[in-house]
Amino acid sequence: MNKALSIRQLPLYLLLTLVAITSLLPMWEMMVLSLSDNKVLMQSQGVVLWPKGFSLDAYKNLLSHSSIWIALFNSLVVSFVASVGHVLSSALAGYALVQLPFRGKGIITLMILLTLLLPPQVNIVPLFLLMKSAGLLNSYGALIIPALVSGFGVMLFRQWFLSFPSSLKEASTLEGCTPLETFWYVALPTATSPMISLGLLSFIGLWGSFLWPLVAIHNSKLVTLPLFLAQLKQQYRDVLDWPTLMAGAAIAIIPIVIVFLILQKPFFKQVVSGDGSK
Amino acid sequence: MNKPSSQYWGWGFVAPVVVGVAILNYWPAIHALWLSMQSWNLLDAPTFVGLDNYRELLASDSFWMTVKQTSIYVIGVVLLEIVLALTIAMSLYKVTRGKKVFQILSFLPYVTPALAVSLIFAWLYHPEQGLINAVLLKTSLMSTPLAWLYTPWSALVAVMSLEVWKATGYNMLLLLGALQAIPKNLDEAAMLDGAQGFKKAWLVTLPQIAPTLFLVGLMTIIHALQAFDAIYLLTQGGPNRATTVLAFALYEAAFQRFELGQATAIGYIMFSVIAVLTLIQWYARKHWVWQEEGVS
Repeated sequence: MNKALSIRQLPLYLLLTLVAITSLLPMWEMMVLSLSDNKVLMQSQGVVLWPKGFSLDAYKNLLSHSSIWIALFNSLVVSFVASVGHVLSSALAGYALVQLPFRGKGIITLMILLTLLLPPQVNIVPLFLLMKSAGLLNSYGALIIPALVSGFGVMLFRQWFLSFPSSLKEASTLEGCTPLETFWYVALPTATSPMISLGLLSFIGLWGSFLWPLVAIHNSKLVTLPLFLAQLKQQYRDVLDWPTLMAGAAIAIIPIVIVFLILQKPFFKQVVSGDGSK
Repeated sequence: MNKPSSQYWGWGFVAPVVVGVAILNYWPAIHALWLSMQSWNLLDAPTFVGLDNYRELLASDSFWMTVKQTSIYVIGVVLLEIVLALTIAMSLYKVTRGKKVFQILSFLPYVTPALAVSLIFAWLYHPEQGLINAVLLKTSLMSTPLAWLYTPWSALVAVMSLEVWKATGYNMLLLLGALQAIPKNLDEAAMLDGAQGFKKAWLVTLPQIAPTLFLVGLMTIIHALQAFDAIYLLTQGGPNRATTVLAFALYEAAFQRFELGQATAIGYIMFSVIAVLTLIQWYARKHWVWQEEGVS
């Protein structure tokens, strides 16, 4: 394979550069506006590609409210706890479905697979009623519990553990390990790839989740970042304080981008080449 | 290994997920079916009304308007996302340098929270200072600035564009994965037969990734049907209800008007659409996709 750049690839690079610019431009605008001085911005005309009257007031203003710290904390706790739980429940089930003998495996696999077809909205009203009758509305439980299991997660680990060598399993059984010990000490450490992938996807999903918290949370102590942003928009709609709104967006976007950049390498390895061990 | 006790281990391992999906997926789905046949405002006792909720919906013009807008939204978003995702994936597959960086950058929008993105896009759609009008005016694609979010047709285009911007990267990644799983010898055989460029892509590459393409298509449809966040923040379903899609109508019915029966009926109509599409894709896969088994 010829690794050198060839002229024939030029159109591809142009296209990819265009895609990259399209990805970054909205975030650039966000940073530029969040660092602008609102008074100067309001008197400006035309496109704003550079901060108008550089100022950190928007961030100072926003971060001086306790509500954004509460929202950051809640989003972090909920996203982290639910992602870890989601990864564990999925790994356990995925492992059992291909590595442990038990009856009813086929029907259970089908039952888990079919949940992929159910759009969450179909269930939102009954889920709301369920949480209400369980006394879980306005609690961390309402935010975390629905995110702990998914058909997608189980299928991801099922696929992964299909290629788990049974010799390893048998060896550890001979050593006297229970299936749970085998899973925890032998199988799970081989599965860091799907753990990172599912963990990251799950974290991204929870970090951005809006509809369910909107429905389930009516307590300012439990507000997550997306709820906070919706309230921020409500508050500043008439004031037209774009720097503050954009600073809010930046505070929601920057942490998740950092998490993604830290985990992107193993994540892409797993998702793109389908195998993290290579 | 087949001692009876080993059965219990298996059941124990799957128990959290089985109990979880039973309580969080299956029970609500059954409960929703029952709810969709009730008239209930959450305060009084529910009364059984049979299929009246469905009948009322199917007889109302505003519901059909919602269906029409949802169809435009879903079809537009899915086609655009698939075409773009496939183009980007194929480009990434081909290029020899800088692949990782471009991969990160084209996936980046997917990680951003929809509410934050909606705030940014509210600015990008700003009639006088927004980048979108500026670009369209500069390139002469438009002659006068447009109040994107306050004009019915363009408000729908605006929320669709946001979704395409945000979600294409994920599809791109799945398709790139499928491309890289194509056996290399197939590529070489195609070259020897003189198939190149577009011809090769059409005859060799596409059939190879068709199973993934079908799956990605279906998942994108299911996802697009759930459009809510950007609409809530940017348009509240307006102007003139022009961006009210099924998911938003469901939310309004359930949590603003407290017509729980009607809301769950909308949910079931969405579910039926997905079920039918899934069956179609399942049959289509069987008939059109060759070599599904054996290769991988």
